[in-house]
Amino acid sequence: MRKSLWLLILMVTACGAQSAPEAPTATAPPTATVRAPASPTPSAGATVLPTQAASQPTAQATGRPTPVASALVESTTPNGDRVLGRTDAPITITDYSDFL
Amino acid sequence: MLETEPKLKESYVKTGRVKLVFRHILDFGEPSLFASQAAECAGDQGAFWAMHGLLYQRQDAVWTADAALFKGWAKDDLHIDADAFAGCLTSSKYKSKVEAQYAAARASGVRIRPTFDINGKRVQGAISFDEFRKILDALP
Repeated sequence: MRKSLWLLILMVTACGAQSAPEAPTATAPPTATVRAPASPTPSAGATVLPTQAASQPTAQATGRPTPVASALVESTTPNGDRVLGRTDAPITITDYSDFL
Repeated sequence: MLETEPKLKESYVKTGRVKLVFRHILDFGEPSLFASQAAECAGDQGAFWAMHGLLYQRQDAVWTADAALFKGWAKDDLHIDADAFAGCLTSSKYKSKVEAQYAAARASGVRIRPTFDINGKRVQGAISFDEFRKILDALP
């Protein structure tokens, strides 16, 4: 009887040690919470996005979410030109450029 | 435009007075074509202008960029679906579009990079923000 009791105590102790593992560390990058919608809004042909994000320090570097400095409207014309800004803006600057 | 464009965005685009339109020039062959396609593929996910900014900021890397490099930018800097972006890029989905834009620009007389049409008035070569401001503020 005493042997059985000791065996039971040993088993309970062993199970207790296994049932309390350390909580896993979250690995998801914090920037996920500050992303604008990734897809353009089909009905409006436009999406609002943080255009300054690329030049801001990343969340991975700072450990904080990337601040969104401003939101600008990105859209596409019927002939496929990429547009930044209000589609009814009174002035249009068409930029013919190479990325190199 | 690397220095001028952020000022234009801040002072004129954000206020609703100006909209920017981009048309591709491909004066440097394959590297130009590949970079333009990367921008267009980012545009599929609402990040054309963000990629546009990165391409200018990291111009030295663009000369020898491959799909893996741009995919890394898509994932780590733009935080868009990198697999979808890479699929777009390797499919050459936008090759004919950017080539057509280049051909149309040449046909319209564009010979200097950058060239700007500001409400129909052509300005050739890079100009400072102050020069932009004089032109823009004179428009109704």
